[in-house]
Amino acid sequence: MSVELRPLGVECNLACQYCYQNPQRDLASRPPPYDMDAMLATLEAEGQPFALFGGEPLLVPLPDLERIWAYGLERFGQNRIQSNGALIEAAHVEAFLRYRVRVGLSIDGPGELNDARWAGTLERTRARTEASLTALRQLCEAEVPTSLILTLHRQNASPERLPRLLTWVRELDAMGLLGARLHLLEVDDAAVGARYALDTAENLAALEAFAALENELRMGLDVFGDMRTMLLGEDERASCVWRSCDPYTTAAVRSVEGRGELSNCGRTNKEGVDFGKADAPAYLRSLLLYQTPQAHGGCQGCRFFTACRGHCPGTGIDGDWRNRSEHCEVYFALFERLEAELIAKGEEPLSRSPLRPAIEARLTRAWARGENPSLAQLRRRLAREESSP
Amino acid sequence: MIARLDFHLPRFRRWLWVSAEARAHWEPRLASLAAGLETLALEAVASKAGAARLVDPTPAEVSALRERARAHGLVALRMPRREDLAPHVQNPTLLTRADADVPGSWHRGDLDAVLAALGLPPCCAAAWRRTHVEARWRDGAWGTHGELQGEVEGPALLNRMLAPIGVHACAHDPCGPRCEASVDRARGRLDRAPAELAEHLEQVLDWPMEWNALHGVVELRTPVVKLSWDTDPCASAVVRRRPGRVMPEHAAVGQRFPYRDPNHHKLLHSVGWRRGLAHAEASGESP
Ligand SMILES: C[S@@+](CC[C@H](N)C(=O)[O-])C[C@H]1O[C@@H](n2cnc3c(N)ncnc32)[C@H](O)[C@@H]1O
Ligand code: SF4
Repeated sequence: MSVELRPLGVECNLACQYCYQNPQRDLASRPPPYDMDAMLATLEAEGQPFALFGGEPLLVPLPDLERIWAYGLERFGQNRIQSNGALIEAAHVEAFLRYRVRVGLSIDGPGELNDARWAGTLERTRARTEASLTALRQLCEAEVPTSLILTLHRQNASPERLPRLLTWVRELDAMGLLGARLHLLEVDDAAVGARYALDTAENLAALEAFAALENELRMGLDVFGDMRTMLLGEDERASCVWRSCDPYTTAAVRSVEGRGELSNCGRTNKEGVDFGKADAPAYLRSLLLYQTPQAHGGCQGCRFFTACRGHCPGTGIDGDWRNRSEHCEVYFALFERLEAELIAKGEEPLSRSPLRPAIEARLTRAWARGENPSLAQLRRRLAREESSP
Repeated sequence: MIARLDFHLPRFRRWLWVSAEARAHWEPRLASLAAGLETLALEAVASKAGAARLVDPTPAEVSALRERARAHGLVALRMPRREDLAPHVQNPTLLTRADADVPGSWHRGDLDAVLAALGLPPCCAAAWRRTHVEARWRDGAWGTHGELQGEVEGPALLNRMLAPIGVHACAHDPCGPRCEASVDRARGRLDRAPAELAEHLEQVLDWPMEWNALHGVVELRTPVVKLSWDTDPCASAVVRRRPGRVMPEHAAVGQRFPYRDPNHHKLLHSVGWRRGLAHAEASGESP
């Protein structure tokens, strides 16, 4: 589970055209002043390391950031922030070092490759991209632990542009970047989808190119790590998107807002309404996808279901969590490829295991009871049963 | 034709409030509305020889249900499940006077007599038979509206979109959204209700709301709460809307029906935003 602190809600200095928070941002009035004591009290109650998040968290003035980080350092021995980086100044870099802040930056590439992370005009967009790139260099030079989120779309990963993107990632590796995480574009708006979404073959080609690059790089490139562990049923650390996220409670994400209140992960918010969390989790999505034919938006009969479960509800076909992910074809192809690799190495992926029916049966029974055991737990239980007479 | 899928989800009810304020205001009000209507229904059964209510409690709900029945001088009788009467009811339980003969009708398999005791007019009794006994729908909403998608017309008194949480003027699923016999019964029920409850109910039933079913899950959107429950699984989304005339207090502003319209779209209608889309279109995929 991750705790995110969002002092200013979805307020941002950019207006990335694909941002899944746009429906909220479009309706939001200026956020009320945050209440530092209330936020810290909620963080204390949550009792877990947290990440500063937004919108853009660096819109918060530095003295307030320092107060938050001083608390984070004292309480958890570490801090994290997820930012677009365009507002980073020398004083921030110093503060990152002082308060042991690990920094995640979102940049989709140099120059025009980052144009989807739009700032109202082309001039402003390019200037902010430059600022983010400069910040990235400064962070690497200062040896602030920094990683990157890179979202794949037509502006940076079309067949024509992909080679430049790969070159850039090699340069970042040489600069000392710790790691990069790739996002497939979640499409929430038809106009945005039409201009930015890659098709399945293009997404696959991009991911495969990154997978090939992975071996050349020092940094970790989180393309397939989770998918591999899910296939092997070692899922206790896999991210939320593979583990039957309930869109009404989004257990993996607890957002602490400016007045100290808790909210859900924004990826499932398509209506621009900030719903509170439901009182109890339920695993209905996994249960219904398991039984709904693939032709109708479900996952029935898919041998990768235990590993994938229809992926993030925020990416459901037609923006509807009751459908499987719009990226199913991409994930399916990747699972096939990983499955073959694992088998070649002498491993037994769950998709090809004789245990699969028993695991599926137990998972679905557990979901019907409102529980969501890990695959690792189920495998241990099955092994115990097999070994006891 | 609505294509149906052959599985069922466990029974569930979920609530997602648009804000803490909406919850603080409406949660107790909706609960007291449902409780008031339940009391009214039990009083009606108690006052009329031969009348009954058919309910489907979960095992956990049974003892409280018995208590409530007893408080009104009624008995709660667990009946055997019958495919020829109510195949959609898992734990059929009749609330009735001890001297009533509706349990006998149930045992004899006399559907007309049972439905008459439940207060259904003949047209709606016929619809029950078609919907539940012949077509095997579990959720009566599929019977009232058939293949309908889009706007639901007809009086708010027959709005049963909130029936799964006990908020309805019409106690049965009407044969159609304009059924006059059902309107008469609903009106009669409101006339017996305390004035404040009746007025409050009429307002809530006239909220804009959307019933949206897919793959066995209904999402019922109102301006203050999104509710969700199990229904018969259909292969593609079925969406029905009541435009409504009453916007409740604490209604959320949202991007779609049935939320309040925003005064303006700060981002998605702005010049800067459109410039971004145009730029993406013009820039093509030059390397
Ligand atoms: C919403 S931002 C908030 C934090 C900060 N402003 C940033 O840009 O990192 C968090 C991450 O979500 C990613 N993101 C936003 N919309 C997305 C979408 N539609 N599909 C994939 N990733 C998306 C962003 O690129 C960013 O990496
Ligand atoms: S909605 Fe998606 S991103 Fe958010 S917690 Fe769930 S799975 Fe994770």
